[in-house]
Amino acid sequence: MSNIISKETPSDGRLASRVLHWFDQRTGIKKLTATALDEPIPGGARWAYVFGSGLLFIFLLQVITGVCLALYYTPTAETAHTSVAYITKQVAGGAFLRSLHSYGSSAMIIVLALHFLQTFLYGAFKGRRELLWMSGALLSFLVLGMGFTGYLLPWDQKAYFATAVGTNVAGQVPFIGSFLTRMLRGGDTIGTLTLSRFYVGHVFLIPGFIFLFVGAHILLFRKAGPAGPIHEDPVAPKLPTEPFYPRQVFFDMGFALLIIAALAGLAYLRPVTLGPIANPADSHFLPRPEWYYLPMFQWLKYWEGPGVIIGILVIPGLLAACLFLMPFLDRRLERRIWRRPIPALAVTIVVFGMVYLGVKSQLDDTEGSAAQQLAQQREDEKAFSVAPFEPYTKPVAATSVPTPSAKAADPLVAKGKDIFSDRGCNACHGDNGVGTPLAPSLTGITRKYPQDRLVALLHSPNARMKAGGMPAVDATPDEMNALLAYLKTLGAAPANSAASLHSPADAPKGTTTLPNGD
Amino acid sequence: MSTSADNISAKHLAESISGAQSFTDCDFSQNSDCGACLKQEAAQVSRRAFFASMLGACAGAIASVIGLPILRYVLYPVQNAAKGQKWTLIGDAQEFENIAAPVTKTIALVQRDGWREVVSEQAVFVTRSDAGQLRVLSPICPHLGCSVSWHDKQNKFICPCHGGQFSADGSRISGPPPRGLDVLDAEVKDGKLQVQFQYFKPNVPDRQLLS
Ligand code: FES
Repeated sequence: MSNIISKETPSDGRLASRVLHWFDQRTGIKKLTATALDEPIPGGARWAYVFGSGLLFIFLLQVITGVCLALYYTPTAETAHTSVAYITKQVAGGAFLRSLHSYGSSAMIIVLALHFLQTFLYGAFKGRRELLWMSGALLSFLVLGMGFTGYLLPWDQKAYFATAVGTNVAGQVPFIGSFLTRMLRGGDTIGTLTLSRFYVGHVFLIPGFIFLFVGAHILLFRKAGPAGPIHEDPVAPKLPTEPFYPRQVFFDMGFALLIIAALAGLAYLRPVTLGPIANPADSHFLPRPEWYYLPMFQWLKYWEGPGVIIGILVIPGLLAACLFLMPFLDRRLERRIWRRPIPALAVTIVVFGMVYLGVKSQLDDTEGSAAQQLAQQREDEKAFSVAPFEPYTKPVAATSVPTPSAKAADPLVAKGKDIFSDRGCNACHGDNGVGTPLAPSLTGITRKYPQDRLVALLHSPNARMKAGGMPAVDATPDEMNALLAYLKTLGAAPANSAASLHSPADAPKGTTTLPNGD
Repeated sequence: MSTSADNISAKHLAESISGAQSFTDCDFSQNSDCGACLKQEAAQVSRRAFFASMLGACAGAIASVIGLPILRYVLYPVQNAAKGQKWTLIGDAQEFENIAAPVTKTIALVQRDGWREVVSEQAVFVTRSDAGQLRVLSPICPHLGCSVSWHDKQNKFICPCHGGQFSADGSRISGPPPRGLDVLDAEVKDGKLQVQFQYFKPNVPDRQLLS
């Protein structure tokens, strides 16, 4: 091979550069990186431009930490909370990674707000950048969706009740409201199906769309080019340009370092807590959403009766539409914010309004009985967070209650069961034929083999069975029938587990049906 | 990435790093040769390498801040898999003070499986050694693993599969089993008899733990 490409091989002949060359000829990676890094920025690099790449950085961080969490998490109402507790309390680095993910979502919102403010104030969405802006607006909604769906997944008290409120809000929409709520919840109440839905949304659907629109956003950005400083012509830039690398890369890297330092510091010093498992029967629990939903939460308090539609649907809908269609509303090429008084005023009102609502909601909670209840909830959450990990155990009630089923009463089956234990089949195949390290499970064996084949195998085991220590079963046809009748019942119901089999040590677990409930 | 970047935009880099002055000298948006830049290039090589390695160091720092916890996180079950089994309660030690013959007890075997605990039932025999010490035997026949049972009339354990026989203290009497019944680790703590249930390799003369 070397003699074929030797002519094109770089003369210095170092292995690294030769490999790079080989790779480049097949991928065009050099040109690609060049295009990426030489992107001309009119007016030069600035700290003000770091927020977009900061968002990309946080998104990647969320993907990485999210994949880590998925390694131990299970999305069922029965086990979700225990698996999160396991991550938080047992797995090395689990509390840190979960905290990174949780704080990362807040960082996402903060940097998103900064990115929005920067592009808005600089008028950077002007001059054929409508699609760029709109893809960004869509991404903002998707990020909010991530926050909403992710909040439920730990399945603790606050997760459950915040989601109850959130999905109820959808129910206020006229005509299709109750359908929407049922659609979100996968039924009338919040349960394991809700969790599955939120999980699929949080882990598959929304991230998929985010990848898609991030791609579109970057592509559209490269097509339009950076808008540059505020006095630059957004369509035909005139200022001298500076390539993206190295100065802007350094700024972006500096911002990324700042983000990771802040997040890692927070995650390390103040790991996020996990509350007690969701208890739908708790009628005292006061739900509070994540901080970035507080303005909306507060806003909804002011709307009651028939006007509620205006509050929850019309006004937020209009705001969202205005945000989405900003480039069409503020459409002159004029970029200087002081020459765009109406958009400036509108955004100022909305931003201050949201800050006011958020602060107000916090202040409201510092008084009266609500303050007490919330303090209590925080205490409970802290207490649960430091309590030792309790593994999930199947509610014993399900297996220990003697099932008065027809199967157990069937004398043939009972006889087969006696044969099963008298002959010592249970020694290797386990009680109820569940299998042990010595021999495989027999559950469903009668469906795997036709009856005559099974009888033949039992009478004279094949070589593999013999090697595993399976003896020939010497039984009369009657006994064989009984044995087969018993084998058929395996796995169907714990027909032979009598309550008396349970040792006292097992008893306390049988009294609770909620895993980890306290 | 930074390596290839070096090759591509050598002169751009060199100039843009040097700041405002270069801004007016060269037009970075074009790839045309720029004499001044070319002359400076050689001098700037070490500087470029410095910037690239700075970036590399930053990226490395970020990668290690999250990479190390991730490594520990992913490896956790691998490193903690072999943790010793917990003791399983059999019953009050008093209960067995005056036993004349082996007694069968069913214990609830608790096994940790990640974040869940699996409880299964397992029979064991409580008996006495020659010296009169309490001894807990596994009911699994050391021949091929059938469940042996105690026969009062014959005063021995008999395996139903191939007729292996064992005395009351578990030692082998006759039959195909190559060793006596397996003695399980047991202890009396706070008046309670506890056992560590384990499986052993069948059909070998010595007791080998099956993990
Ligand atoms: S399995 Fe017990 S004697 Fe063969």
